[in-house]
Amino acid sequence: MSDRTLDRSVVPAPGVLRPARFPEIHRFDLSNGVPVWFCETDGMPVTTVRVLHPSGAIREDASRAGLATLTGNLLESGTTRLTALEIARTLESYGVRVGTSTSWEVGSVDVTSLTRNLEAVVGIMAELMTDSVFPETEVARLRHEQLAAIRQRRADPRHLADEIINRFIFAEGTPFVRPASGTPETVSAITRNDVVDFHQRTFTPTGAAVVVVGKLDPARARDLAEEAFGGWSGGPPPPASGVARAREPGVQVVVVDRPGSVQSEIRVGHLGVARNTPDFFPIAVMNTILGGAFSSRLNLNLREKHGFTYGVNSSFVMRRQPGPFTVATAVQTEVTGAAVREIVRELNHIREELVTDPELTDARNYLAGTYPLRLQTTDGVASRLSELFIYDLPHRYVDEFPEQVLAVTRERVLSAAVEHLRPDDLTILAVGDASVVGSQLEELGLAPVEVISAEGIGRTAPERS
Amino acid sequence: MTRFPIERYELENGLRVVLSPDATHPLVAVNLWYNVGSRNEREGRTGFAHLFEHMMFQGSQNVPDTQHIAHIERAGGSMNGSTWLDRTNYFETLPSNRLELALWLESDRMGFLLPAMTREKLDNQRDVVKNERRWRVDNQPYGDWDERIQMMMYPSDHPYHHSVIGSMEDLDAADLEDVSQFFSTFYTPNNAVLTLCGDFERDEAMQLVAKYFGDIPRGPDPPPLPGKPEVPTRLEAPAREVVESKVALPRVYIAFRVPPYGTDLFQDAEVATRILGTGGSSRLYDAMVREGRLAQNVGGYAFPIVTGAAMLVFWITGSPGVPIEQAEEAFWKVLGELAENGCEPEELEREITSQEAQRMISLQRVSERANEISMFTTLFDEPERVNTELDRLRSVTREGVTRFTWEYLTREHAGVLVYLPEGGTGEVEP
Repeated sequence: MSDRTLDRSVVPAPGVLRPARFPEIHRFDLSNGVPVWFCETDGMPVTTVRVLHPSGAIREDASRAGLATLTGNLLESGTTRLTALEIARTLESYGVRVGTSTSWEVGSVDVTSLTRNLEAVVGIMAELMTDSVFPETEVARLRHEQLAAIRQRRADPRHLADEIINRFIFAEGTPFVRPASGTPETVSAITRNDVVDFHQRTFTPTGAAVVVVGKLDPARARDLAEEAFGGWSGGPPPPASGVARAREPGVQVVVVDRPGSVQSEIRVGHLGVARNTPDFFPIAVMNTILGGAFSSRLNLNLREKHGFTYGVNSSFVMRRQPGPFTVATAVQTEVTGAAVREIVRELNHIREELVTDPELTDARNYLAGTYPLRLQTTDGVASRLSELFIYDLPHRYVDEFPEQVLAVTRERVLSAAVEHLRPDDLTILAVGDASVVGSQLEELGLAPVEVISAEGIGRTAPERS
Repeated sequence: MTRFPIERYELENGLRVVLSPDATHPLVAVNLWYNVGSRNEREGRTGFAHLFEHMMFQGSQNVPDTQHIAHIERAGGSMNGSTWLDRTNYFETLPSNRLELALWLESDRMGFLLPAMTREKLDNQRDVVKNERRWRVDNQPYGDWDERIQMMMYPSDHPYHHSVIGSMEDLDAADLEDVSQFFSTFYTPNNAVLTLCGDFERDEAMQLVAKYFGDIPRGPDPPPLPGKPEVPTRLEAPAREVVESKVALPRVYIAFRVPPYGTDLFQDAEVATRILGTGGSSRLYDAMVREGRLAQNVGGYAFPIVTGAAMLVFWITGSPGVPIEQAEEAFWKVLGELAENGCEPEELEREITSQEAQRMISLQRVSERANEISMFTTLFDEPERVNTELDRLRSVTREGVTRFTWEYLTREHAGVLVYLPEGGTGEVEP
């Protein structure tokens, strides 16, 4: 069978590409005006239904940070008809779990079910959204759990770094400074009345949307959505609680002291861009080359060349408002300063010179080629449709994604780097052993090193200079 | 019920190949399982199977240094590898017109890895892996739980006594000679399974597999496992360890040895674990979290491992203000009730429906399907099990689950690992 003349030094050429096709999007309104996005898929007999509400953390009061998350978590704690245990048993008898998640922009209630059980499952999902009673005991229990979870995250250097970097990127008093799940102070202050009020004001059809993706025909999808969500009523949600803004310009170097740490969790970043930036595609390609893929500059440098780390990545978190741009990695304590120097070097380098042709081609092909991987599941397609709604993108976006990526030029990559990476405004954060890493960072000469105690963070907000 | 097509055959060199075509999406998953894991490591070389996995991404005779991954990324694919107790797997999903690229890359490192290996690459990946250990284990709350549990649950001469990540000393000791020996011993076509799942044409795929893998020579039969793989399927005497470390909340891990994955009893173990510890309707969640308010969270997992005895582990994270011993007592009470009164018919029904739904959902991805097929072929030489798993589950009875709980899930046979916050008593102020 074997081919004795096989020349293994030749890289096999691609065959004929069968382009991926985004399923046809059906868009209709329910009788109460709620917009529905629906796609019929081939494949397995499962369907995802997702309801997006204007109940994101951006609409909660800063003094009650964590309220949106708590309210979402409480949806399975009892309705006028069912107790929490009955809800869990009924859903699990259909083999499903209803997921509730709360981001800054929206709250979402989500289920993926065998299509044959869909009507029953979605009926319960609608009941959770509109008929939850928030028993006092369940509010107390889940508030207690949320406080304990915050304590646990702060004991974990990765999560601690993720939380603290935002305090130094965004201006005080603006929304993204605080973690969306709140702080011990704000969560402790939340009462059942706050939950009931927030639920009443934000689980409302005004500003909501329904996404249905699966193996079912459009007529059934329409009936399903109308039956479950068409009778839902409510007024407009409260406005967003603030506008994202960066702190004052300049470089900051901060160490969160965790004595005895064998690694430093490093975060380097600054204010990024909103999702509606006209530079979305150039930024995506630029970030892929910088730190968005395994073969990125940062990973080849810090991991494959220096062996400083198991991995490093860079990302722009894009929301309706600008989120953070961050480089994230964990390196052994001894090389913390050296790793930061390499990160800053890469940020400068990509702003100074055009990327090479192979870098450009590889990054474009990677982004365009992996896009269909995210369309294999009903859940994946539902996420793309949710983005259309949340960020107000045109339908053609889902089809045009690959060609838009492939059209980005080296010049556009350079201008995206120059405009959207700002080495002069970096916050450099290391969660690690200050007695060792403090002097390493000092020696870089970027800015005076500010040390805060990890212990202190558990109790109060750290001192800011 | 969806059935996946399965065609299994073997090349002359012993490579087992499974094809499962599905043209729903223009994607193809290529998945290789090598029948080698941390269980095959010799004394003084813990962590080596995993370090070796890293070396497999460092180029081969016709693929320069970092180009394995670069080739896949620029083709629009995603890839990775992973090492576990019993096996090591390598996998990529690509646009279906790049199947040949994946087969070229996988065959080059299966057949022609050693010419590309250098001391410099080994030193670099050793540093990377040591940082992986720091990240996953040493700098992470509860990060060493599996290492401690494995030590507790398996005797020192059992291949599961040590963790996959291994010790820093052993990682330091590994040299190029180890790389070459390990490769020649375990990375042979007759010790591997190759699965293709997705959008390809059967005859063409068979030709490509023969073209790239056909001339790789068969290797020697792999040696028997080191140490003593046979071990009683219950811990002989209860064990307990208490650790103080940088954790915010106390946590207890409670582990049991159970019959290996693939046996009927393991299936009972899996169902019992889920009835007890998975989801909002599970007994432990209801008694300890929702109603009892004794724990922040609970969970359980039956490790699908095959060497001598598998392992079942429950964990309970303490709730602030509640002594962890109180949560531990409540755990035993819940297990006692299941052993005494048996499981309910609805519990078993829910479990079967849940598995049906969860399998359908996760098997939407060609990569998941390919991995499961490789697993069933490597462990049981039974790729068709991807289609019959639910039937096997349906054969589990209430009596079986109850008897299993009674016989295996007892204090006399449990290994218990307790984490307490440094300087703490297990009680944290609320």
